[in-house]
Amino acid sequence: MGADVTGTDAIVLAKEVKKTYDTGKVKVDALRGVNLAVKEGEMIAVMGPSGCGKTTLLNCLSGLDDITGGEIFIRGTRLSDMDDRTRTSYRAEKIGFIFQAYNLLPVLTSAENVELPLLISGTPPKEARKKAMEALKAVGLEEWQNHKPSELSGGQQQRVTIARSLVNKPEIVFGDEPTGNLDSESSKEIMVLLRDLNKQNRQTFVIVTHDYNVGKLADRIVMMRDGKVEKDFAPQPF
Amino acid sequence: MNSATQLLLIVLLVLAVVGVLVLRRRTLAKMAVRNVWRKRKFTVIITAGLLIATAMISGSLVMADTLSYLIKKDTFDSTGAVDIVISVKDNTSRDVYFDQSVATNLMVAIAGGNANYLDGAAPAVRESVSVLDQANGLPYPSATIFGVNLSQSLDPLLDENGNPVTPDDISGRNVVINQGLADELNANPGDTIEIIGPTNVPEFAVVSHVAYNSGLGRWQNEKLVFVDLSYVQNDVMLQPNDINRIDVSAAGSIDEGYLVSDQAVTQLKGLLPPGYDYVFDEVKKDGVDAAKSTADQISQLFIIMSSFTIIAGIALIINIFVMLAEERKPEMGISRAIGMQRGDLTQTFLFEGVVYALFAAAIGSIVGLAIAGVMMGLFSSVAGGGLAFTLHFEPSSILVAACAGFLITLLTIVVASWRVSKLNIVRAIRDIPEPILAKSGRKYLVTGVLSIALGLLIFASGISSKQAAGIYAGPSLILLGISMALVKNVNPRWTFTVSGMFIIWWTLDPTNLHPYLFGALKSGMEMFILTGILLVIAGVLIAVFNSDLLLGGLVRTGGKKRSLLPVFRVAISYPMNKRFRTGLSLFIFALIMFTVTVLAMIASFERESVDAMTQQFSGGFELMGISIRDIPTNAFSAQVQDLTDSGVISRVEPSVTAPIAIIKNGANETVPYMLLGMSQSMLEQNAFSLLMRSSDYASDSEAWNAVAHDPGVAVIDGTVRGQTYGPSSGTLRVDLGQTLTMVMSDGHQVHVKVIGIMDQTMNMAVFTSSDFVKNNTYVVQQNLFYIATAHQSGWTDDEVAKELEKRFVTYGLRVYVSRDTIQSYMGIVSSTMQLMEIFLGMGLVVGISGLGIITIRSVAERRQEIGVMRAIGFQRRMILGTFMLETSYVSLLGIVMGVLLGLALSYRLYDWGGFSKYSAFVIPWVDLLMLVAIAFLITLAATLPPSRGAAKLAPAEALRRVD
Ligand SMILES: Nc1ncnc2c1ncn2[C@@H]1O[C@H](COP(=O)(O)OP(=O)(O)O)[C@@H](O)[C@H]1O
Ligand SMILES: [Mg+2]
Repeated sequence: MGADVTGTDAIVLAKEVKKTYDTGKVKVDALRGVNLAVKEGEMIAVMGPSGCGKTTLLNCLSGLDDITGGEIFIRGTRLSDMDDRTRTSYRAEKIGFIFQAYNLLPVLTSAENVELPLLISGTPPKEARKKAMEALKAVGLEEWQNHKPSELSGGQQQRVTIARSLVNKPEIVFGDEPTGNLDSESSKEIMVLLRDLNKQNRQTFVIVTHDYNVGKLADRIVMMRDGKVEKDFAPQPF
Repeated sequence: MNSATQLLLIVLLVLAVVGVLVLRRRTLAKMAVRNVWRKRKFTVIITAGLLIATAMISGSLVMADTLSYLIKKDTFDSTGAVDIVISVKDNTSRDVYFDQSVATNLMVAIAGGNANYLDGAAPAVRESVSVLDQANGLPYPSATIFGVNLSQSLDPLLDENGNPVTPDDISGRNVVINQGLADELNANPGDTIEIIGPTNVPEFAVVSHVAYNSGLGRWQNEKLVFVDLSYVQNDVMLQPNDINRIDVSAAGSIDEGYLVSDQAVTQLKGLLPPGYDYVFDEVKKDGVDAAKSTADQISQLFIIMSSFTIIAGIALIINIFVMLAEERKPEMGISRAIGMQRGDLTQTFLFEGVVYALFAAAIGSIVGLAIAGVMMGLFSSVAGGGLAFTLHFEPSSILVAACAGFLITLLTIVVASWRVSKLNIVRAIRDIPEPILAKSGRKYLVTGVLSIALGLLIFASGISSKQAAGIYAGPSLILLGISMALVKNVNPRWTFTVSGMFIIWWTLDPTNLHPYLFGALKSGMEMFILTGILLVIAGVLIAVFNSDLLLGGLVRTGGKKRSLLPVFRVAISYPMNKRFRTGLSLFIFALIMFTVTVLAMIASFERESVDAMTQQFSGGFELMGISIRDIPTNAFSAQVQDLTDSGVISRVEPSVTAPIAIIKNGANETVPYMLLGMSQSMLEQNAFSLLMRSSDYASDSEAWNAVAHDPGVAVIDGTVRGQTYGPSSGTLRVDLGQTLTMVMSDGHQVHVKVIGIMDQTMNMAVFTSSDFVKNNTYVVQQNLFYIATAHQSGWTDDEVAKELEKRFVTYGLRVYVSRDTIQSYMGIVSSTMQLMEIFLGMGLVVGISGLGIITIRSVAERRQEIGVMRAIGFQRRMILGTFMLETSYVSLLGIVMGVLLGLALSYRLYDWGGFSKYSAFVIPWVDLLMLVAIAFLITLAATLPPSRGAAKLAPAEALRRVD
């Protein structure tokens, strides 16, 4: 399976994406022309050494950040043609996020955190709570619904995040080092959970990680170095 | 050692201790200073928050200094070189004339160098006269004629151009009048004026000059006619060679003489011939003392009032520091992990705090100057006539403010940093919030039990000393202690809610339990502050521990619109989770709004009281006339016949008076007083209200009836009770039921029992029947008239008063309009209240800037959360909405709580302060709504920019970890 850069069946398509951070003092070229296509239902892992631009790429692909060159298409729509409002709504309806840490709002309970995306997209509160509970059940945390993040372990917190990222049945889920804060045992559990969900719901997953044990669970690994895609391969089945 | 040096010493001591610590732990100090420097912007904000206490103290002191200076300056200006005025009194403490040789001999003795504390002396005659300007017919019934010997006078008499007037200008039929009288009479040089003195012989004189308005020309701020001394003696008073005053200058210049005033009096006593009962009026010293005591009173009042703001400021400092500490938690956790002691952390904070406190003290005392300037500007516009002022302050006041501010700020910082240094290392490093009740149950138990013990102690001492403060605070503290002790056993919501409600109930005492349980209690201004703090703490506890109910309701109503639900959900969760912070912010807002509301209410009561007070204080008589010379009753009626016929005047009640002296209770001293006799018929239907009445009488009118028929009883005016609000006049204090010993002018004594004390304070007299006066003394004066007007006549009361003064100018009749007197008195009181409102309103700045600071910090603190929210689909305006909703909730809840508690206390004050007697319970809704609106809008304005900043954060940027 190679990168289908021209691919029309790609749900996410990046063409010659460049990103330069301008801090005023220095300019950092975080992305120097990235080409990438992600197919629907695919689970890819973006890997590479620290500072190679993984987070930047993820933020650009998901529309959280603007790019300085090239083009990104999501379902054929050019991201740069959408204004902030449309992009935000798009995120609310079609995209799920899992970050390394600081995923959850500390002042809300698990259930409240999970149902938040639904409430944003206007789901009636009762239905939202029902769906949130289903999602929590899917990650095995239905009993922790009334706990605040500070009362959960790191792995549990991350599972709540996963529940939140999946609750509105997004087309694409972006994860930035979702296992970064966890021990290897929990990391594996989370990855297995993500892969199972990916297979069940045919949702697309783009996961950033620097841990090969995590990356090898994906359908495809994209290796980055110095702001470019270095190689792109399917991992050995384990 | 005065308080300024004491404070300075303490500050220096503290700084020395800090200095030693710095030397011992240089690295810590370096870290602290770097922290201050690294966050310059934040340092500016924090200093702004910290300087409030200093600024309020400095403002109060500078205001007092300025007023004191103004009064002192006025004393110097209006007494010139004169330090002491000698007069001679008779049995009833009234002035009598004495031989001029007394003055001449004294002058010789001083000139002979026999008295080192005396500079000079001059004879004078000063006497009340009425004056009528012939040119325009304007009368002035209570001027002073000043007989002066220009060659002996201690101060020169200057004409309008500042040149000394010549003997010719005040001899024969020429007189000089001063600016004050010229203004009253609208007189100009060349006018002929008619002067009517006690002898009733009118003198006609020509105004040669209007004197320069300073020194002799402004003597005691009276309306003066200057005439040659011998002319007054021979032609006006018909007392050749007699004088009634000797003006004396003590050694030293104008602004030094008062320092040796007492020694000068002692010397005078040795030099004056025996045989006379001399009175030494130390005008300069008394004026300076009055200036000092006024200044002390004002600064005390303002400092007491600003303690609300200062307390709010302290709450703000704690809030800022707790926030600062939370933000630095990971940093501090790592420091702890690598081996820093808890004490080291406290020290770092302390060093940082010292830097902030120094900044705050320095800048705060300067800001205080600005506050004083604004307040004085308002004062002068309220005082009317645009009191000219320049800020004047003693360097020591600024020093005191700076030192006191520094200590308050530092103390708060020490407590706050000690608190924050007690963090859990692991939780700190991982930036996990401390669980709300993380402290071990034992600590709560200990704190609780200690509070209970302290509360009991305070309560007991309150009961034994009959101090209201202890009785209010003790049980409140006990309840809080119980709640604290039970924290682990009982849901704190219940204990704290119950405690809060108890404190409110106990403080407001709606069922009047306290007097029933404890009898009459002693209380002062401090009670206002104490009740305020108790009520607000109670309110905050109830609000904080029930916020989920409150907010749940809010979310349900506010979240009805589905698109707002997530905004409400998040906005509301923060205050619910950060209870300590929210509680402090609520406390600040509520406390300030509470104070402002109570003051606004009192001002409203004062305004509303005018009508009822006028009616009750004046006994239904719109006018009261007092003449210098007797007006025979039939002469009075005859002269106002036309006014009575045409219905302008509906009733005239002549009363008689006699000079008496009252022997002060238990003292060897007498106070000159007036005995006032009303006719039987007037007494029988008297409508003057009584402040206090002997329980032997069922109503005020029964008491008045007793006065009409029983020569053993009398009623006295209200000045004998002192004043709760506003200035008090009179030095005599009398209790109900007391037997007064009155000395008549022939020296014999008469006793009466006081069965009532009047509300009115304008007319200081012992009220009896006219028969009583006539039977007890032969010096009966027919000089007091109560006059009722009929309002349908088309004449205003002021017009009637002016007309009467004109018709009876030869008798020196002065007519007072009761309503004007009461109104101007109440006006002063209620505008003082309003000034206080403004002064305290400045405290709102504390709350508002506090919330602004907290919002700025919240945005920084919640960066990543904002990022997550944006990532999962919160629009920009939703982020803005979240922050605005959160700050609005806190500020509005605080504001509303403060207003409600303020209204509740005012409702009680309405009874306690005796307002219910005169005024309806009128809530100035417009004023209050304006206050609420202003406070809220400024809060929005202060929190909008940081909230906007939060909304503008780019999601990817927000998500990035900044460490
Ligand atoms: N907001 C920013 N401003 C400036 N430089 C940045 C910013 N974000 C990332 N960088 C820089 O861009 C490069 C790529 O960063 P990032 O995408 O976070 O790498 P990775 O996630 O692979 O560790 C790094 O050199 C990083 O320092
Ligand atoms: Mg990264």
